[in-house]
Amino acid sequence: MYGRDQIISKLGIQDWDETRQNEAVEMATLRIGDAFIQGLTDAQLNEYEAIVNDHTDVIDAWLAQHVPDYKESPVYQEFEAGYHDDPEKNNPAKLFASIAWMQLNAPNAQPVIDAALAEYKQELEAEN
Amino acid sequence: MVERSSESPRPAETTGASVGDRLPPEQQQRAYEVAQQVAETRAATLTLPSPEEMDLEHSLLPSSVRVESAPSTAEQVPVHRGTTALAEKALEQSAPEPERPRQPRRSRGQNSGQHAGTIHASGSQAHSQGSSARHNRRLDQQIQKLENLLDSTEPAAAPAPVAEVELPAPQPAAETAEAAPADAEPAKKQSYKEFEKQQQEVWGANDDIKPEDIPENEMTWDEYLKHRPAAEDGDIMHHNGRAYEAKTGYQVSQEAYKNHMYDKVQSFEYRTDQNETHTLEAAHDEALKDNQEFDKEASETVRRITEGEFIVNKDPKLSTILELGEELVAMQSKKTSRSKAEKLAPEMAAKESIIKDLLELQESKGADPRALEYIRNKVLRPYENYGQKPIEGKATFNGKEVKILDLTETPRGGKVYDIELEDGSTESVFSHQVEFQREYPQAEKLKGLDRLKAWFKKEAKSFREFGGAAYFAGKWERVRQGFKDKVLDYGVTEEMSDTEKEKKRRRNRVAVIAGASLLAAGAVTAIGFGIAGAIENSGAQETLANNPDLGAGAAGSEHDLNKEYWATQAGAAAGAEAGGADQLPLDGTNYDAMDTGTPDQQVSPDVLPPIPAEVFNIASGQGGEELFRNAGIDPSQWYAYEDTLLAQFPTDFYRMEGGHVGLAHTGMLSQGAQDFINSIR
Repeated sequence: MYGRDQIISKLGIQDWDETRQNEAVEMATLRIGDAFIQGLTDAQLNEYEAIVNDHTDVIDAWLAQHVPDYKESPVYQEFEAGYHDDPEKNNPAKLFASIAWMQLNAPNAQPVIDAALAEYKQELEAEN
Repeated sequence: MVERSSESPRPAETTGASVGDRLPPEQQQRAYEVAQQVAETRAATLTLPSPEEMDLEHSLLPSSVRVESAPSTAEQVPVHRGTTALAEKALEQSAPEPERPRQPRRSRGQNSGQHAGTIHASGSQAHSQGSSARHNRRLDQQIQKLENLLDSTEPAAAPAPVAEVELPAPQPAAETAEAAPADAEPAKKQSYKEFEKQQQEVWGANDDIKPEDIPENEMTWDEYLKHRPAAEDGDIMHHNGRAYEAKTGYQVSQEAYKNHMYDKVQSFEYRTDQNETHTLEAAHDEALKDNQEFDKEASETVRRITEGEFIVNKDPKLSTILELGEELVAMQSKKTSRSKAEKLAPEMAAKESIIKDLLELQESKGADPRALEYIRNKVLRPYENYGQKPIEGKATFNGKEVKILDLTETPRGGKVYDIELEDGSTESVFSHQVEFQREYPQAEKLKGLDRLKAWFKKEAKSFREFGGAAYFAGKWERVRQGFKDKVLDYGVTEEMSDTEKEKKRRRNRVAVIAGASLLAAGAVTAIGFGIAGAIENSGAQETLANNPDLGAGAAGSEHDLNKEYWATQAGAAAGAEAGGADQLPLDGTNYDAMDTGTPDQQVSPDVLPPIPAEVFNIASGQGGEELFRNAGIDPSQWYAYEDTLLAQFPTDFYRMEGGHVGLAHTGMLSQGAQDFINSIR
């Protein structure tokens, strides 16, 4: 799986200035997500959208069913620890649930990610 | 006699944890596969000739030194004594050094009492089970080789060439003293170029670093180890806490090498356990930060392996043991079915027992531990791991949990799992079709915690940004002011209606967050924190295992939420179409807040809530399609119900000039109309 640097490397845009790189990473993230949600059922998309929209009832219900002890997770604890430094004060449960949901629903998303990045890379190369 | 006491530690214990011990099960499996490939190649050239090929009948040997079959029922089998011409011939053909010292022939009586004299029951019992003559002949050969090795009185110390290359690791004092002649010259400091030449003689040319690429300043062994490829084809590598099989090597790039930027750039191509191939380039200093501990361990492993291999290659006895082991590993490739595996099991068990005895014997004689470890890792570790469940954790096939029954190898080295499906039926599938959900041991989890924190430090900021509201607020504002925004406007065309544009932008917003979540989920999983970890801790594994909705069906029928509902709330609250684009919820923060709604408006996954009252508060210009969209109903359904609505609620609706029905007034619809619309969802 890739972080920012790996995406830049995958796209072959190491030589770009930071502003353009950021834009490309942003667009790459969109492309990856867009490719992924195309494969979701309506129900899955609704559930995920409700989570990212911070519908606390949905988040709580989902976590209660799938990760009841989520507060014990180091991932959640890290989100909680970063809450005070988060200028937006994102709900740690929302952030955790959005990752956990992906882990359960997209256990092997690497091909989707690679394909989306490869397609976007081709577009970038054609543009430049 | 060398007694194998119950108090005396096993070889692996005496030499500390071996490389294989430290590897997780799937890496051991990988290591086995790599070793197997090597063994298959080498076995073709190194397998000892059969007794027939050695012309036993016409041998000049006296009958007293002919090979005998081992007794079939004895608990412990006395090793046949006496160096035989047959054994010598075997060693001549298998040992790489023609000038290797030969042992003087001894009679059986001369040898008795000098060396370990037992092969343990596992070998003899297994031997008794194999009844074929061929089996006996092969086993006899191994015993003969054992005899020959047992005849040797000299410990397998590190040979002189190893000392010449100035190996950095200290050798055991006694061993060094024994191996080095009294008048031996002090170890000469060897240059890289000299060493590289020597290595090429042993390993073949190194295609990764050409001699002309080597800087003029000569390198020592330590420098060589630092800069030579850290892995070769098939080696198991780590990155971000995952194990990969290196495909083309993990190496300092030529360009970086030329520029003396050894520690700046690394690149390697690797193949994952999912059989996917990727190329990864990373700044070396970053990689070091990412996993300093592994780099250190990898370097140490490479050093010990290269040294071990060097020593083994120079020692005829150890080379013979290695060949025996490689034959054992090669036999595993013949286990292409359960029945074949059962037939081969006795012979393999006997061979394994012999190899272990030989290694133990060599260890007791002071053989170099690096060489012994090399042999164990090269052949015994893969062998012992074979047939075990290769990866711990839950296995899934087509998204459904399955039980692994057996693992077999195809003649070309592919892996095939026999699996049991949920309905009890069985099936054979290729390994890449089965996914394993790894369960990380506690030690890995602790290691992963540091990596998790590092990930948060570096990447979580951008994840929060995409998941938050402020980032999108700025984008919505740009669009509201008439500017194009690449991300929000991706896929938005001029031909779209404002509503369609808005819908697409909202979808793009979800897509960005989904993309960020997907990347984050992968990163977090890679460093060892999956959902399974939390569930394991909560003791709720049973719940997970029994949940048929897990995975692709996570949002199953119980969660069959209306797809449009969430968009509807925001759209309705904003008065979407009726108020025009200026009234759309373009401020991301407000959008989120409106999207969230009040607690009594929110739904539980199981119960569809009533349509929020504000949906029925009709704004100026709003049409029937938009009303249905806001209510979470497919807008195209409006035309199926418009006549009914007009007939039942004529105060709320009217017939337009075009023939369709429109909303007769702004403000709240009648309660009857609200109830009707609630009922048709």
